[in-house]
Amino acid sequence: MKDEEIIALHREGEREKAFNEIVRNYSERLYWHVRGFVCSHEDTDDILQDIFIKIWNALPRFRGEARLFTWLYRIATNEVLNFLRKRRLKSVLSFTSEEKVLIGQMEADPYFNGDEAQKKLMLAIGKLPEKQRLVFVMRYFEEMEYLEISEILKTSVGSLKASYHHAYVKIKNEIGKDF
Amino acid sequence: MKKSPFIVPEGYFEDFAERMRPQEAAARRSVPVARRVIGFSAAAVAAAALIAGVLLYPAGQTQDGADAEELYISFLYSDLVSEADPESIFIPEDELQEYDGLESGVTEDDIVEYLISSGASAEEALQLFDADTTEQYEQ
Repeated sequence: MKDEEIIALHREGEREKAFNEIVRNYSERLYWHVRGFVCSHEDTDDILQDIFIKIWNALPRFRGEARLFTWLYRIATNEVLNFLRKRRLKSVLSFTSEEKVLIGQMEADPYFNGDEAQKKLMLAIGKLPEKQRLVFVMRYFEEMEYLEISEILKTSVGSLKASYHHAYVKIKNEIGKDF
Repeated sequence: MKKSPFIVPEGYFEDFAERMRPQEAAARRSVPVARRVIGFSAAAVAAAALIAGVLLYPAGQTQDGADAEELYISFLYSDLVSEADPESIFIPEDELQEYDGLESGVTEDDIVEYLISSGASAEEALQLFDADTTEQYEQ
């Protein structure tokens, strides 16, 4: 079902039907969006459920002025940010480096199928400041257009391009350390 | 989308759609809060029982008086709620009603303070929470 049809269902008051269609259409896309930041499948599953709970709760207030795609990704991105902040705070409180946590997770995760180079890439991405990480993952892995990212993050295209460039240079330097 | 180094359990997305009944999912996600409060309550009850046992148990009536003293000393030095475990942080009852899903018990103020201490400006730190509540999703 297209987004316009889902919005039409929503406007007719068919909240549950509209929600079910959103889950059907977007669960996989939002899953990969979250996974790009969070790495662990278990954490991604938890966050994805939280995202759809938020979507369900917020759906009555969705007026259709923003695109459905933008609105859903904005909710998902905020949930990811919340998770990352909590994880960072937990690692500070437990005197563990976030990098160690991430390495441990990737090595223990049966659903991580990457080689050493990909592991290094994910670690390098994990070290980026929040905004740069967001832009990089959305642009590099999800191959989103800058205009789409701009609508989701409410940031200008120019600023996004700058963030992406900085992220790219940092990752290149980080990975290049080992060579 | 670029090839990802991550894989997904087989049938996950089909199963997810089946599992995703929001009211049930919300109920499942709220269990850790109740569990934590129950855990603290259990610890509080155990502590109360220990105190009662120490205070009410007649001194000198044990076969070995050192047992009561040992118990009392171990109580003095025991951790009723481990401060190192953020999951056990007590959530005051009046805050439980407004619990917004931050399951670790960490508040937004804690996060903001941390962000500022790690170099972010106060504006940046606070800005990150701008679109955090569902009220912001009126679009």
